[in-house]
Amino acid sequence: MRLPEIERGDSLRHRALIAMISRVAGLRLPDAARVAFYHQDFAGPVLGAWTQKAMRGPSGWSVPERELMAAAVASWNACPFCVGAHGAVAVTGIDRDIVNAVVSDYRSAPVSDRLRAALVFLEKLTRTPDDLTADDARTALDAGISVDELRDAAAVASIFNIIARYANALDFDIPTTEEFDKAAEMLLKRGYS
Amino acid sequence: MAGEDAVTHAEHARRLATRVADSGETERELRLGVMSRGAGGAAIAEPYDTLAIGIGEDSSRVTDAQVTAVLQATGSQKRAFELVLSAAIGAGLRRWDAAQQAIEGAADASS
Repeated sequence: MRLPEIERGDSLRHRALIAMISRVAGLRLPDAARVAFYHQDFAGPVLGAWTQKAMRGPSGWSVPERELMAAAVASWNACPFCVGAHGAVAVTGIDRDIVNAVVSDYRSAPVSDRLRAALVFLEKLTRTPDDLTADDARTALDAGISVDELRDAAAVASIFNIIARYANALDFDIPTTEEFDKAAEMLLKRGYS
Repeated sequence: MAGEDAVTHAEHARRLATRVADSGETERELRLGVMSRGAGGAAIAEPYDTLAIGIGEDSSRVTDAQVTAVLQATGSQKRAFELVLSAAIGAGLRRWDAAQQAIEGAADASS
């Protein structure tokens, strides 16, 4: 269910920012950004700082690869907003057909063995976390992923298991493809925190 | 920022759990109960239980009625928002913990 206070902003400053950014970007400011502005005394800014590190900080995974992982996690959570938003960033560095193929079925998608191994780990982590074992991590490491890279990928998945859930519960508005592409430019430029 | 880059994922995860515990307008025990329930923990009072389970297990099936019930019980959108986030954060941190255990198990076995 949508909460009207998130839609309009909870202070004069945030209402002005929402209006200004929407005008400059030429699109309705996506709900993910409105949530980031809302009730900042709570957990949002701390989650934003972690998201910034996971998605834009130093890593053996490229930014488009991490965005693709986020889109895949979103697909396993049946979150169309996050699939669209992060798929749109992923296509800035990965062919759109490949991004779509990964979201549909990463096992048959034309990606590297290393990325596929990470996605196998992340899918099990998302769907059945209690069944995840050291053997699953070992399989990923044996595919050429370092411990730090696997930890980075797990951070992306953990964060998007949070974001996809509240996006669904709060019934995020789904932008058009063109709006997602414009928002992706903004996400690349401004980041998450 | 270099300083922030040096903060580990584990520390970010710890800070997030601490923030849920230590900030907010709802009662601390309620936030913690909802966060735990979102991670598959013990049952809590209604209407919070149904919403927290729903967010933890399949958020795409959360209904307006479930959120409305929590909105009415808490009396404000900010409080309802806190509980939605708390349940989602519980589900995400459960996965972070599971990943850490698996990765450390594999790294220990190979060292």
